[in-house]
Parts: sequence; structure tokens; C-alpha cells
Amino acid sequence: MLHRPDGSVFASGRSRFFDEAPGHPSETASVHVQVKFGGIRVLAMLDTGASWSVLSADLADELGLFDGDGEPMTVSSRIGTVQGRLVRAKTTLVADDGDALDVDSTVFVSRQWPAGNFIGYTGLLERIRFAIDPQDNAFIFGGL
Amino acid sequence: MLRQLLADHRVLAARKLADAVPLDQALDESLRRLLIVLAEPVVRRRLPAGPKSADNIEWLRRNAGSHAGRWVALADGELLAADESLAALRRKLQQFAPHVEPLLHRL
Repeated sequence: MLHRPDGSVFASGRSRFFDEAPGHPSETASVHVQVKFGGIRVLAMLDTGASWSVLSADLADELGLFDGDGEPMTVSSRIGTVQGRLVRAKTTLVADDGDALDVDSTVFVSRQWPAGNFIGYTGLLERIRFAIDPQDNAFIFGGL
Repeated sequence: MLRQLLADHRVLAARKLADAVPLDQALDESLRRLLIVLAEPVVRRRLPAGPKSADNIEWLRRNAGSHAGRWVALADGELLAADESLAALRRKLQQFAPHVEPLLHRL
């Protein structure tokens, strides 16, 4: 695993990522990592430019996240402007080696969201150390 | 004020303001909900690694075109079930593979 200059551990877990969304080919590479939202294991695109993490509408519905509390929010993205809610949810960064991490995170959910899952900086990655090794398609991560 | 900062995506400013209102002293329910989603993420625990994902990755690479538009459930590089509906897929898995934690993906 990676270490910081002072010798402390940078990361505690490691997993393989996809460099494209399976079934949704694109001309540009992107990073799709394995996560669990509410215990359901899926792929999510790593997007540090995303305001918040976002769940696909199917997944959010299956987890009952449209039925509870949350803060109304409008999100603008490449896909368009979408109205939904911010909710608190348990996200797990899945590991092939080392330790997985359970994170209390804030995610955006909307019935209008037309795309897949994203993990973003605010509300999730901001408390995670992470690195990418494109040679091995490795996503390396650890909690602060 | 807090809501406006959040709507303007000024999350750091919103959190700084929210620090002045401890969650347990927020009597208004809508304010409590706002403080909850505004809070920084918290890493709760570390867990053992799960099953290796390489075989599932390889299955998706080879078969992405064959189940277009459907949700698939994979474990150890094998297709467990597929369905157009995520809810229906999960019901199938509960019935036939209740102790498996598969990777679910919509192709």
C-alpha cells in the first residue's frame, strides 16, 4: 500500500476500476470504481468535478431514498439541470485487497437523473485519500 | 442564509455558518435535516476486502453488448441473473442466491 512521506499509511484499500462504463462506450476514458450504496454493489464514475455524488434513479428508488427526508437541491451538470434532494447515505468503497471503507456520506438523488452513479468530492471524497494507477487500473484509497 | 449558500454551492461557507448551530440544539426539523446533509462525510469503519473483482470486470468486457438495457448480477465472473428492472433482479437474487453479494450493473 502507499505511504505518506512521514511513513504513515496513505491508503488502506485497493480495487480494480473500469476505464469505461461497461455497455456505454465513450471516446474518452473515465474511471469507474466499485462502491456499495446502501449495501448494493454497483459501479460509479469517479468525478472530482462533480458537486456531489449522485445515484442512478433506479438505485435511489430501490433504496427508498425518494421516500424519506432530505434537503431539496438543484444540480447543474453536463447532462443538464436536475431537481432532487440531498440525503445522507452509507457508501462503501469496495476493496479487492486491504480494507474497504464505510462512509457516512451525502448524495444527490433525483427521479429526473438520466444517467448512472457518480462519486463526487463534496460529501464523500473530501474525507478520503485516493490515488489512481492507470498501469494496473488500480483505485487506491484510505480514510483521513 | 444556510440554504442560499448551499444552493449557490458555497458548501464551505455553509458549513462554517452551520458550525455555530450544534445539531442537538437545532429544534427546527428542517434545519436539522439541512445540518445532517451539510455535515462532512465520516469514515465509520474499515472492513475486510470482498471477493476479487477481476472476473466480473472480464465478464463485463466480454458481454457488455449481449444484455443491452438490462441490469445484470455478477459474482465470480458468472452471470447470476438479468432483468430490465433492478427491483425484479433483486427479487430474483433473493430467491435464488440470497447469500451472495453480487455486482449489479445496468448495461
